[in-house]
Amino acid sequence: MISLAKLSRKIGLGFRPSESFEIDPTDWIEAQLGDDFTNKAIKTITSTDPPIVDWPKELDFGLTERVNRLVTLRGIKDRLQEDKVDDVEFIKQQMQAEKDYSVQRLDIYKFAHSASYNKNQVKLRLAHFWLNHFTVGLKETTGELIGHYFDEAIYARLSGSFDEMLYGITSHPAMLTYLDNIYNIGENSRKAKNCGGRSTQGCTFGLNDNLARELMELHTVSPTRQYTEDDIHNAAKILAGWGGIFDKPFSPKVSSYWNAYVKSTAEPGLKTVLNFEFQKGSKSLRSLTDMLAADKHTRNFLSRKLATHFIGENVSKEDIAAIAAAWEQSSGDLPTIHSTVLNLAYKSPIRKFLWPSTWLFQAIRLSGADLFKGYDDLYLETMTPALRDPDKILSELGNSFWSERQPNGYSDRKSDWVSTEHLDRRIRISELIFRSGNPKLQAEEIAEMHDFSDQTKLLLTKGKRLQDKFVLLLCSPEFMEV
Amino acid sequence: MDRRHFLKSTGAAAFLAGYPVHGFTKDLPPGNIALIILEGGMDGLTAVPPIGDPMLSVQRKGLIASKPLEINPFFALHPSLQNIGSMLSNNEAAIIHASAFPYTLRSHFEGQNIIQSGSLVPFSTSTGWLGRAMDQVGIAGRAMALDTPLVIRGATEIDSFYPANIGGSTVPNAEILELLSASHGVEVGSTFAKLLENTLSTEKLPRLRDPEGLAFAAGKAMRAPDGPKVAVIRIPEFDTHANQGTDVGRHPSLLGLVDRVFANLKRGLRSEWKNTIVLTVTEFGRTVQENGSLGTDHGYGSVGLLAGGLIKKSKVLARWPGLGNSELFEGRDLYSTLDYRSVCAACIEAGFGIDHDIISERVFFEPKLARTYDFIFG
Repeated sequence: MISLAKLSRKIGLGFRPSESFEIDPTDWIEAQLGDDFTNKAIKTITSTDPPIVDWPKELDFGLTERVNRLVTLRGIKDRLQEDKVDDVEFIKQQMQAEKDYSVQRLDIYKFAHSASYNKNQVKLRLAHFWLNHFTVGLKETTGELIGHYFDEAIYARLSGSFDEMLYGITSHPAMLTYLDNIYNIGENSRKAKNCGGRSTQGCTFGLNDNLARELMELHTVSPTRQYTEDDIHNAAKILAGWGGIFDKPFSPKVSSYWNAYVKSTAEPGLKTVLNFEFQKGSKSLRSLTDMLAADKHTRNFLSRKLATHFIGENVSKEDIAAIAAAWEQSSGDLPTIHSTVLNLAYKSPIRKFLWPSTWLFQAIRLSGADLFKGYDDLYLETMTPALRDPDKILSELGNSFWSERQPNGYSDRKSDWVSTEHLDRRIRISELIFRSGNPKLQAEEIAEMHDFSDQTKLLLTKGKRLQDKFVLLLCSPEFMEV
Repeated sequence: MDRRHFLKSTGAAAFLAGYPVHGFTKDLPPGNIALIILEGGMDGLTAVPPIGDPMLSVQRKGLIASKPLEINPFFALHPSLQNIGSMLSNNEAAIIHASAFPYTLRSHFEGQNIIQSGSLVPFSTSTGWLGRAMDQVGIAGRAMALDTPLVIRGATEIDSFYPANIGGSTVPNAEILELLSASHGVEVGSTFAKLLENTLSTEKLPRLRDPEGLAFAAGKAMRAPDGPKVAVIRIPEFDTHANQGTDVGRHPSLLGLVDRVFANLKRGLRSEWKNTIVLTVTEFGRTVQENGSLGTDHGYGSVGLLAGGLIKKSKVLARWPGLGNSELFEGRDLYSTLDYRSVCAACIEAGFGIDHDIISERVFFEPKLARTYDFIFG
């Protein structure tokens, strides 16, 4: 058993100075898995001690709004291409258009503010885990969609079953775009026939198996299932027709941009994946994801991954088996599975090396700092605020969720996060938080409140200045690994 | 692709390794090895099209660049590979075609693990083939980038180089580094100690983070008398499932980048180029036929690009499997007729002067690995 202060760092994002944590840890876990939380933020860092407020509703964007903005933005960019303006003017106008219509930057701020200020720290950690498990990197239009994907396909589905989440992420335009399914068009589809059966530059069709492959390899059963290329090929056939409208120029109109199924590009006929048969039509994707979600390889693979992320790399086989059993008994009910994982993490003596992003949010919360610019300050470019952009800081830490990266996501192995450059960044960013973030607590106060060991407290006495002590605490073994 | 499209270089990184271990008495190996990891699976048939194979235009009509640089009547280079073309004319480059690591399951992540670990069972070892080769000659871990790639992890600790870009921040304070080094366990503690050593070092490298800049910095570092003997450069985003492009576009831009990385390594290395071998690795090639989205899916055989002064005579090596449907691996991919581990082994032999049998057994755990040194370097 570990103290609540430690537990909150192992499975959550840590307590802010204003939060009280006099509660039984197991009760706290259950309360954290509940639903009554709102997204918090600060408006501006130009005043000292900015109040924590609700994230404004008008800065939440639905999919239709996002698509409309994308179409407008694309129109402006296309016109700019044709205009014979010089490069300086081109860049200026392009930046203005992005400021007016792009929501990516706002989404990143919302993500960083909620991680810095929200009370639902455990659910956010779970959401970060699943966002990474179902990675969507920057590609084509995904930057404008990842924020929605995180809120609606990941976070909003933490209270349901795994198969719901799996279907949601697979059919979300962010994933369909990132893994090229928007170009996956049945070889016997109506569109193929309209092209005269030959794919040419002006009329293209044909399968693209990128999403089908990763759906099986990374998202569900993993290679231990020993599926064949034929299985992947047939899964790609089932996926054909999904998301085709996100290819240029967002047509034809569909009733919803999520689950956008374009019948004319779908592959007709029966498909077989892992000996299961699937009929033609849009319902077969749900049958496919449900079949994969129910497979024992999926629960074994994901039980290990959850255990590694929340308990530690050296987690015991028994703990993994207990998670897999909870998964099986609850038929993939995520709150049940999560509760099992988190309670095991509470009991386990195994230590977990935290992602740099988790470490960053914990450093901000425990010290009560306001590091990131407010939602009104996005384009504030004076010297210090320019450094206080969450995407920039997370990128320097090699752990941004709006970055170009591979679909296997960030590693949970300590050795992948320990290098001289990684450690150099930790020190520099600790200094940045101290100098610019106006932390409310000093290192020794944090160590006292959050149950740090005597060894760490002794280390702090060796720092000469308050800044040195702050850096020593944030870069101490106990802060990086809980 | 439009005139204002620039290839983003996020995710690219360079790593330098193989610095002399302090107090290690053994002689340094004679040469340098620079490895370029092409992440995502490079389309070998685009990089080095077999223009003499009549099936090429049948199988992939939409993927052939209009003005390939002819090497011989059978093979050509993609027009983006101008510098490699010059190196071929100067007798300092080699092309190895229809080759791959013997891995056929087409997963990026298993494949990338295998081409770095050098073991055919994915995720089975915590060291890499180049790291184990470095262990054999007693040169060790001082390497560089935000993280440390598996391929150069060996028995000794590794350092990284990927300069911070946080305005106003300064080099970490030595006293703090000392305290942190002492407070952590071995893995993190020794890395803090290494960071301390670096901050005290007088070596000045250009603070560039794009692959070309990193290649130049790597070459420059390797030129120094006590510099690293090994560099690794990672170029991501070769996974061209859609719109890969023929004359212009994503894949051609990436090939141009690879070409400039070769050129910048040479520029940075100057006279040390004569003692150097540069080679590419990729997890697999791509399907022979174009898919429905003007791209290609995961395949098997690809191409290796080699250059450096250790090559005495330029050549294209390939036991050509053919591109007819019946000649393809599983009816879809270019066959690999040469185990690319043999190519890596030959480069280690050339660069480090280690006996082939030792490389086979201790680096690749494959006693029967074929020796290709004479074909490439003879």
